[in-house]
Amino acid sequence: MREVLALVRGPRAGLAVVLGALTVLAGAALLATSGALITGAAQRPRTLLVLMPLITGVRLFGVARAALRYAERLVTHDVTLRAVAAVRERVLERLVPLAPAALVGVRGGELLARVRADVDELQGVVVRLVAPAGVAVLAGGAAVTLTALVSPPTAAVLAGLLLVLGVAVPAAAARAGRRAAVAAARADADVTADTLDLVRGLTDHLTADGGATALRALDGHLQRQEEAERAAARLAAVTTLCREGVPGLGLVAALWIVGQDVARGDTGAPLLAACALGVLGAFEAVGGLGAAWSAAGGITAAARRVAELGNRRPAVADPLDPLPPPAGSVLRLEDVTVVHPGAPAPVLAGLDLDLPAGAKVALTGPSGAGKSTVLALAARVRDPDAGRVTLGGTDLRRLPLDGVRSRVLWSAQEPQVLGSTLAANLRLGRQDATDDELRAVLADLGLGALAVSPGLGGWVGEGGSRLSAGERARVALARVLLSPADVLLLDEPTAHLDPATAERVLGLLARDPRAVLLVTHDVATLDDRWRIVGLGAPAPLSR
Amino acid sequence: MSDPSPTRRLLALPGPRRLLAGCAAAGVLTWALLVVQWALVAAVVSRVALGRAAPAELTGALAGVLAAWLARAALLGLRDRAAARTSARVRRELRAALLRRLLDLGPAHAAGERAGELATTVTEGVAKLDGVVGRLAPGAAAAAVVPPLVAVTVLVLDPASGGLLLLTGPLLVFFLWLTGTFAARAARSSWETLGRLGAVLADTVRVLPTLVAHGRARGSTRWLAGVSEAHRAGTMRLLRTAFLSGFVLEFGAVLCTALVAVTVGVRLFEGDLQLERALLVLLLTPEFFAPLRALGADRHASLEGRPAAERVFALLDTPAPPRGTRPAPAGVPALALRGVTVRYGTRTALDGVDLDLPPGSRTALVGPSGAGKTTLVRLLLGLAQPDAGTVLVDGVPLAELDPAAWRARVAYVPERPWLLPGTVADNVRLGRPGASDADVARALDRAGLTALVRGLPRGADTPLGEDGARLSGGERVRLAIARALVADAALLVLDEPTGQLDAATEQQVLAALDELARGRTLVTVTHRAAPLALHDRVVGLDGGRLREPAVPG
Repeated sequence: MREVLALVRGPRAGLAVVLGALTVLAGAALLATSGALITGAAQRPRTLLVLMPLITGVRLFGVARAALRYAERLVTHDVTLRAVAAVRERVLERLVPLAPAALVGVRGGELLARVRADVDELQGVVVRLVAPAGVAVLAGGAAVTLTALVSPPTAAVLAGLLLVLGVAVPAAAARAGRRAAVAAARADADVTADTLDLVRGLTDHLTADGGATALRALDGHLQRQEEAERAAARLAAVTTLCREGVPGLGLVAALWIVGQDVARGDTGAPLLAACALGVLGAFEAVGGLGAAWSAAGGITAAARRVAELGNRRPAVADPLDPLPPPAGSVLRLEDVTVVHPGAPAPVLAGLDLDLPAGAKVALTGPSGAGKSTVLALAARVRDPDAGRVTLGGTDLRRLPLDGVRSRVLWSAQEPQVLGSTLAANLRLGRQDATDDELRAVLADLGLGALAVSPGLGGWVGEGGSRLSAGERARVALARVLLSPADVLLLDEPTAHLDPATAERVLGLLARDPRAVLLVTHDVATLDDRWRIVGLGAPAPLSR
Repeated sequence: MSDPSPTRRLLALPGPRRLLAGCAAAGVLTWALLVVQWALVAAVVSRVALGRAAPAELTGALAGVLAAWLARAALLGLRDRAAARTSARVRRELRAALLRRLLDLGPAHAAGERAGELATTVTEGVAKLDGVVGRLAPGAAAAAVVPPLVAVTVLVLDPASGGLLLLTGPLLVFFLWLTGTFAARAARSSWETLGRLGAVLADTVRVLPTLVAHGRARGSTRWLAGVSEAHRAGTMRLLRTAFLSGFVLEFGAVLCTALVAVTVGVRLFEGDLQLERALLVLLLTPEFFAPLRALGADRHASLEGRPAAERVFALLDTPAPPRGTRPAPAGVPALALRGVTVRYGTRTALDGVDLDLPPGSRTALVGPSGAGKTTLVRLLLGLAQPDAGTVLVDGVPLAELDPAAWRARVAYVPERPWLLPGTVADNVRLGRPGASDADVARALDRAGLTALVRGLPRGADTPLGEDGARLSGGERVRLAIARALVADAALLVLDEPTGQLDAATEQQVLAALDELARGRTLVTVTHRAAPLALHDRVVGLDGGRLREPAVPG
């Protein structure tokens, strides 16, 4: 809960709650003053002037209610947008030290998917949780207090019924609905998995059995999904019954209690209608609590997970007493060993590798042999479990991370293209590159056409979706070629390219004056400018 | 032909239509209960206020209020339950129908980036229809029935107030429609902005490894903050107008209530009206606006549901090719393509191709990407139809054969076979659902997977996880070969079967394929040299035309 409140602290969130509460109270006051006005008028006072305050009240509360609602919605959305921005910044700040080690591979994908879902969940923090809870307390409390001025017993009944509707019913519903919610979530996940299975494997399914097996599984899961939704619908009907029914109890109770006072002559007649209708209007205070109750669990858990991101230990950290940057750029792996957690055998055991200035080295070997791990060590994405990696003779762990990364550039296996302009993507490599330099590197890579359409200022689509896989790979390569780094580390740079383009790219890299260490499957495409280093067999699949 | 709006079409389905009728009937009943309930309340207040009657004398009326009130609450609960159930049933039926339609349409329709879009339509798209059937339908039925009945009631009770309702009601609805169309557009674009902001974060986080590698991560945080602030300011500008429709409705409703209260109050003071009747008019007035306001609040459900319904019906309306009925020939048939042309929009994938594939022949297809190899494979598998020309099976057009019967006679091994989330055995049995355990074991053995299966904790009954996450590329292909072995196919189609394998694994897979191809017709698409040795001829494809014969490998 502390993590949730940390997201919405500040006067704006308070203003949203106050405006929401005033909206509810204005509505209740409109009903109460209308009732009082009519009963008062029916008693035929000597002059209309007696009724003037009530007439003014009716008009005032009517206009105020609409204006307050409008202001409340604006402020609530403003607070929401600010909270969303704050959450996003916080998440990004916490992810930066963890990147890239924690963000690549399957586990990285899972982490990112969860973070994304958590951020989405937190978008509702104000509208779905904080505002309804605050309004319930503030408006409910005020309504009970005002009622107590007229009739303390009625106020007590109102307070009790507000608690029933705002706390007891949602809590009971959440409890009763927990199993249905779990079943529904599981059924949804199953149906989604079935759908993806069928769509992605459409050809395989059609040629194997015409899709019969897949449809059988799907129909079973669809039936369970419907059953889960029917269970939820039953519960929702009971909740509706309570939500619509309980205010009626309040109304009848107010008529009964205040009616006795009026009959005895202890209370003025106009207060009977005012009190009964005011009580009815007060139930709007807890109207949003039901939804808030069911949203609370998810939002709190998401806020906690986002806060916990800050507690994860990064794979690599800056040294406390960094050494000055070395003069040379010779990269050397000395007797390094890497053990993946839980793996029976080390993925790299006592490996030595030399990458002198300007050297061209290609790493090859079966999948799982540790090729990508070598690149990760060289770029200090992770540290070796034994041995050391040096740049110009200095251990990487003694150099500032920014310093290492400005000298050694690592490029991930999947080309990562930012949903932005072509130029913005290329300038990630070197911020001050001129348009002519960008065009030149595109032309070198056979991408001259891209500089015309979409053009350097053209949008490349979300995640570069307007480019083909081969173009995305070469945009990533262009960034690498533009970069001022001395050592280039490339993971499968030719995987998405046709043979002719692959040859062209390898030729460019071979001619580049800088040292290049690349991972490849396809040794046949490398000429004698490359030194080929084979890594051993992977650990077996079965343990 | 003018298409009805997709939302309307959804509500015209049998289930939702029954729901709408039921909700309208519930609306009439709701109105009756409202009148009873408020009439009794007005009577109680009037007799206590003017007659000084003690509530104890009025227990009957108070009990009546409570009974009518609770009956109305129960009616609403039942209505909501019916709506939720109808919505669940409709969505289930639509999902089942959509996926069956996808199977009928075949892979040409679901290729590449469209696959993800289609899956989203089936899952999230259909889920959004809940707002239309489960919330909008009951709300719209109530809004159509209750306000007119209430207005007429008030008109009978007090023509002046009734006239006010009949005047402001339609005016309000008209004004709401006016601002609504304009505000809805603004609201939609504002939520799109929010969605785009979400995409910006997702995108930044996704490329974070690259940003860190290039030393640009810290800048991205500042950049994101700037983007967020710009989006917030823009969205707020839009919302100021978007929320106007809500303001108008609320303002109209409360102003009308206040007007009724003041005019009725003044007439009471002047003695023109009875308190009981005046109170009933005052109490009924908000009920005139309540359903309209609820409908206004649920508008976004229809806004969200509309594009989703559009996509759903577009997919359901896509005509599937006609299904043939003739049985597939027994034995290994002769296949022939005669003048086959396939076009995708303006692009010609295959251009008048003639090709003979005699029984037991082994043909390799080579050519650059985009040459039409995949299209040709789809034609042979019966997953696509030519725009011109025919595919002949023993002289019979493939389109006239029962597609299910033909697919039972073909087996397909792609570069990256798709695996079921089930067990190893489930994946093999996909080739022939009736295969015995012994058949499965034999197929696994002939595909060279015995050692792998023995190493698994539960042998062939070990679950593979989603899309076979535990298997290497070579193991996947061999599992697909086992699937093909158990299928007893006459035609075997391979698409880059060794594309992802290293040389040693490739040799093992090719040995298994040689075994598999015995006694069947084999067609292989490949870029690589090694698989060519399996074949007795090589056919080149370029720009949708045959280039025969290329040099055998």
